[in-house]
Amino acid sequence: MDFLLNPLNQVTYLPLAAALVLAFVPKSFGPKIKYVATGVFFADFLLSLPLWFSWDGASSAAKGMWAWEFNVPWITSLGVRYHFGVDGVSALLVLLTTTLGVLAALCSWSYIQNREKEYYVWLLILQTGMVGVFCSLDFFLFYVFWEVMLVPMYFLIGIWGGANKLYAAIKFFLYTLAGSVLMLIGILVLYFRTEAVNEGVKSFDLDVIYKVALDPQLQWWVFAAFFVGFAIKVPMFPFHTWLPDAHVEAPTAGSVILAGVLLKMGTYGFYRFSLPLLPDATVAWLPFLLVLSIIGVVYGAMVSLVQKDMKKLVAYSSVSHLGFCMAGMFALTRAGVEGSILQMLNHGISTGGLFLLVGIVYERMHTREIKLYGGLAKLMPVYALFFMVITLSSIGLPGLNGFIGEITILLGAYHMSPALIFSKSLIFFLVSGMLLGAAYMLWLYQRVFWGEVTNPHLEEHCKGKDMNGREWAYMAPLVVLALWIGLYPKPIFDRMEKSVDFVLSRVKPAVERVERAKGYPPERLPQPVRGEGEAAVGHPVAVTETEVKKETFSPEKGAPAASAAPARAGHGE
Amino acid sequence: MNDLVLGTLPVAATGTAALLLLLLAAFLNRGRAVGYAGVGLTALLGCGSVRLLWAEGVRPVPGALLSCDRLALFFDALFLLAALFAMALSTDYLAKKRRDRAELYGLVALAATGMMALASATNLIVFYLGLELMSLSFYVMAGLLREHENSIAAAFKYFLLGAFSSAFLLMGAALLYGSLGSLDYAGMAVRLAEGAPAFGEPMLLMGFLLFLVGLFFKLSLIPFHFWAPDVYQGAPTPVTALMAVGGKTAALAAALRVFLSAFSQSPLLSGKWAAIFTAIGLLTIFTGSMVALTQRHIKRLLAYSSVVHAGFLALGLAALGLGAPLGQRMLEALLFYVSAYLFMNFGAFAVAGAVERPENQDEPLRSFSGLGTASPLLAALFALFLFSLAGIPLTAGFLGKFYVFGVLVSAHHYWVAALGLLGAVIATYYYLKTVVALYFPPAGEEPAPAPVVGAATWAVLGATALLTLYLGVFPAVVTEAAKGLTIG
Repeated sequence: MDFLLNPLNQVTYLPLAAALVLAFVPKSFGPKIKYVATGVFFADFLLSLPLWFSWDGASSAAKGMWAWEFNVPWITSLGVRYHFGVDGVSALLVLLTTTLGVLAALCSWSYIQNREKEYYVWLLILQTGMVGVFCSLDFFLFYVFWEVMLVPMYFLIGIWGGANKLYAAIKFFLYTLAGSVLMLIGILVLYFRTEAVNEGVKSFDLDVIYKVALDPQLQWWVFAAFFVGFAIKVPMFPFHTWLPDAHVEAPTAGSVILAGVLLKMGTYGFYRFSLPLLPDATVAWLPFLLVLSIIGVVYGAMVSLVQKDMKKLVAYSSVSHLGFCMAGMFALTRAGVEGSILQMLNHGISTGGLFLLVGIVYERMHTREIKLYGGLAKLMPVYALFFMVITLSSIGLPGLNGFIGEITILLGAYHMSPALIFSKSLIFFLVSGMLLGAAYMLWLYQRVFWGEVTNPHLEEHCKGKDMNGREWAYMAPLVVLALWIGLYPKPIFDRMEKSVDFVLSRVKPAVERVERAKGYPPERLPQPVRGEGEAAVGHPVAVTETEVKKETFSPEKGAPAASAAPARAGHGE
Repeated sequence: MNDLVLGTLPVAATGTAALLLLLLAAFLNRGRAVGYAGVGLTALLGCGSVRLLWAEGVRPVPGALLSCDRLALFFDALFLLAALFAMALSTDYLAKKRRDRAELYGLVALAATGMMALASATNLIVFYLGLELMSLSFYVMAGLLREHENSIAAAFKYFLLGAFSSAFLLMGAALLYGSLGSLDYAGMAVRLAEGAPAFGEPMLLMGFLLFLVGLFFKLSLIPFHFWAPDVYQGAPTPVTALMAVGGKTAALAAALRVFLSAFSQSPLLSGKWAAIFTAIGLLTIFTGSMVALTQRHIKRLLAYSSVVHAGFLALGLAALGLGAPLGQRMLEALLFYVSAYLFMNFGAFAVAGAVERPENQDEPLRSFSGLGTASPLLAALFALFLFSLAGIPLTAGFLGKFYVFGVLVSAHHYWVAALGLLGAVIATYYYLKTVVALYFPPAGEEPAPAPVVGAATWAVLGATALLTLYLGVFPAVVTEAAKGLTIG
């Protein structure tokens, strides 16, 4: 009974329960099934709202770091526990998932014409898997959700996808699987070392695993194992080739969820596991990771420039945006990590929105080829407006969400410790990525919307068929979110602050070791601000430093500056 | 009662059931009735005796030819379950083929008797007797559909190669006896522990290697697997399932026992054992997965799948010599693995048999096209078994792999674990291809009509599917039973 009273369990398993019921609904129920499924997604969204509204009440220090925890033994012989809970970051990602879930269901009403029942069943199961990944605080449980989620996505792409769907579905599945089995070995290595810190009992529980201290050599290898698993999911530069295939072939809803949520699991994995568990390896791998991220930013943007297919363009832009997220994460400053997490949400909103918008014209024209469009603004003015707002959000216009994320990441990267990377100027390649981003998106906009209508089919299929009520219903929330985050991001930053501090406090000793080794005086360096040390309260952490530095110093000026939260100073308060 | 007599009870009871069934088949000319009688008798006599001894426990008797320890009983239970499934499936299968082969059920029970003897043998002679009892039953059963050329070819091929591999085993056993002077595992262990074999090391090693080659044949490890696809394809499907599950598990059980009670005593032999099984296991996983990719027929594909699974078992066998805590954990991991393998593989073969048309011996993957719409439940179950065979979480197959690779990682065999798991990813590809056939029919192709599935087949499907899922989420039922099991 307790199981069902926990809000995280409710959010996770409502879709699964609904899917099981729907699977046995007779065929005669017919197309009405989509209303039911959408209703379930909406109910799930409502169930997830307490994660936002009762945040302050739930995450009080007395309850420790995890909120809404649920912790019972599962497979006792292995020490596997069913441990659910969220911190500020995963709560936000759960909210993103449930929000996009409703929109994905709505956008499928007309797109999916055959085998509707199966479609919504898989979509619901997928939602359970995704929420489960973000809520799992037991490494085994995490791995189970992480893998099981591949199955519904595989079916969504394979059955309802485009021309080359089988290839894309199998490639997606095998790529991710190959990464995750290596991750499994890393997990097992950590698992076998928990005996020493947990009274002789091995455990997958994250609270226990956080206590394991590995020597740097072994950390390096475990990081390598995790890196393959997470980097394929992100996807980082040389591992990204499954992404365009999967995106182009997937149905619209599949693309939205793939871009909006699935890719975030990779970055979330780095945040939740690699950084706090393997700090020394993080620092050792950092130059390599930053270079890969930056290659991803620039390469993704340049490849986007030359795409002929709208969806493929948006897909490659994801590689670029996720490169941004990774660069911010591995700046290892508070602004960098917070910006990275905000950018994950932003990417879900703007790229999810772009996929939805591409889906809208695809349903009318049945082509995504850019050159067959042109002058669409005359035929579908409202659509053009929506597309403009989402485009601007994607390229980071001030006042919209993308700007906040990107500028925070840039500031965070700028203030990163000079001891960590051979040249900080590398970071400024990120700016070129932003410029290229503006170029490909605006050029796309120009080619699709401006000019005269040259394609007679366009006139035939789109004239007088501007966005209908349902399309409004799933686009408007995204625009509202984009504006809200763009103008007042403070509540979001507030929610992630303590959690980010905790992760950074785990990495900090490793950073300081490198700084000392390279002769940088630690007091002259920017350090992550830790709010009164609550981050560690009630949490079994080996970190012992309790001194709290409210102010930090920027290395260039040597003067106190609120370098850790610059964006909030500018935009929040 | 005397422990010596009690210890032979499971083998004797199942053997009695087999003889009764063969008699029944001679007088009763209705195959289905004999089938039901077979299920009843085997359950009553075989499972009853195993249940009784498991609860009571049998004290080991020195010098007994059969050891009835709990490890043997665990395997006995698996063999009996496999036999029950095979009998139940056969009733529907033979009805579909319009063949009345009442003698099949007695042979299934006889094969199970052989497997049980093999798993509890403590002596090379009994080992060989058990092996031959099992194999001879298989040879006959493989050729049971004698109107089909494939079936005859399968029986003949299996017989020739099986006899050949038995010859290897016998030669190996003879050389082992020659150098160690004992047929008894315990006696062999004493000699091995003393160190110096009577006729020098080369003879001992030769005997050991020939013995292993015989085991590799029975486990169908690459490159000793060539019989498997053809035989699996030609034999009646329920018999194929019994071969794939029972035959392999029995070979594994025998290998476990002979290694733990004899070979582990010699550092030389246990070192060779670990190296050989690791190498051949990895070779099997990779080559088997690659070859499986090119298969176009479901039973051939499942044959290669069972070859690959034998590769994983071989990796587990290799780690048995790791010493007390790890070797024991690997033993328990293997026990879970074979239990999971029993259910998921029988389920998969049950679907293959259900889809099979009366005139065919094997279905091309094409005929599974569109099963997802024609018969959603059957397709969903098949997908479940395939995902379990591939090792996707929440299924028993995943936990089986997880336990085995967990021990490998804790033994710091990182590279073996990484290579084995990457091989598992390649293997996933052909399972996915089969799922593709189920759910993603090529556009414009008429889906095959829904197959007619009998009640007994549904019962087996339901039981195996439930257990595949249940063990994937709550493995404790099996792991608790397997905990601490060892020879002696």
